[in-house]
Amino acid sequence: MLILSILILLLVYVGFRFCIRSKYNKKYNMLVLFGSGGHTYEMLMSLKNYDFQRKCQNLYFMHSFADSQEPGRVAKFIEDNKIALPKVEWITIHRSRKVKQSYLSSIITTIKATLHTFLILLRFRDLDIFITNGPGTCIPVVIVLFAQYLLFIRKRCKILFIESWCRVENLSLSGKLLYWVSDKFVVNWESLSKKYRRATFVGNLI
Amino acid sequence: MKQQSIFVTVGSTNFDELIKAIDNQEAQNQLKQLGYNKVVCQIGSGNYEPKTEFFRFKSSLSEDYQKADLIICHCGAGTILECLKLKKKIIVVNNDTLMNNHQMELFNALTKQQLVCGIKSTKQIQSELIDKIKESSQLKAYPLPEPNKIDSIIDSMF
Repeated sequence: MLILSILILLLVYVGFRFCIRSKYNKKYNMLVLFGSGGHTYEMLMSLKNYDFQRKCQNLYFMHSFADSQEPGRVAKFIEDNKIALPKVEWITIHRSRKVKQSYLSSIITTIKATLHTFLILLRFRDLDIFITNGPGTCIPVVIVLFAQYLLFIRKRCKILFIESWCRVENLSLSGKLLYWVSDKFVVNWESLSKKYRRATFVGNLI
Repeated sequence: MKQQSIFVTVGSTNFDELIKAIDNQEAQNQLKQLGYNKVVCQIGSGNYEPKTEFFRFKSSLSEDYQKADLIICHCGAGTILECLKLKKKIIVVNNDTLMNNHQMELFNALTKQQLVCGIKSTKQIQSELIDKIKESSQLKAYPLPEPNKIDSIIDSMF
């Protein structure tokens, strides 16, 4: 009887600890994708107030070869805004679609980029969450994350999609493609959340 | 009266109509009456070079935004956002000679919420610019985001 009650107490205690841990102390392995120009600015603005120190285990920033100046811009922003970060590792991938590239040739370059991304992401199998605000490069990354999950290569990585601030009435192409796929779909304008029911609006993020 | 300044920016393209509209004697006189006695223009790849202070490109326009009291810009989301966050008075001129009508959604939403003054088409610049400058004193401030929103969004996913 005594042993049983001690056992139950122990179980409750462990359960309690587990709840607290998972809810408040869980640290995530986070992958953030930076596109070019405006996308980078918006992403930095959205994440400016995020408590990376407390919430992040491993932090990975991703950009494509074409956007080679992004790491510098990101570093400058982080310094200017005194954002405290754990050590950041940069991942470089191929770009899937140049601005104004035709849709047909986009498909071919996207396939190439996807294969390349697949190989690179094999090194990063501990991801918990992928954050993107919809540069073209996000599509192959999402495909790869899902494919590797299906192939038992990685655990499930959640996808947070933040629609660009420029989008008020209609979703961007990436937004339309990832609308049903993302675990959380956040928009910056209330009009969008009324039109698209899966979209979350919590006031402007930037 | 406090001396105020205007910064006109066209981004990476050209927008001669806008520069011409502000760079003439009549407009300058009216601006002086309103208390604006300095105009700086960023003209991009435009052909028309104004008589006022101007330059073509800079790596960052942040300093120019900060110095200005009123910003007149093309409908570029990046520029508008940055100026809104600096709580500047903004007049957005839609350059309908360019094919960038996807920015119209943003233009309409911002003018509707009175966050910026808007001029819908290139043809209306001459006639509306001074009126819009007068109107710009009644613009609303851009609501800054609550700091911990992104935390709660990410937490809610796990």
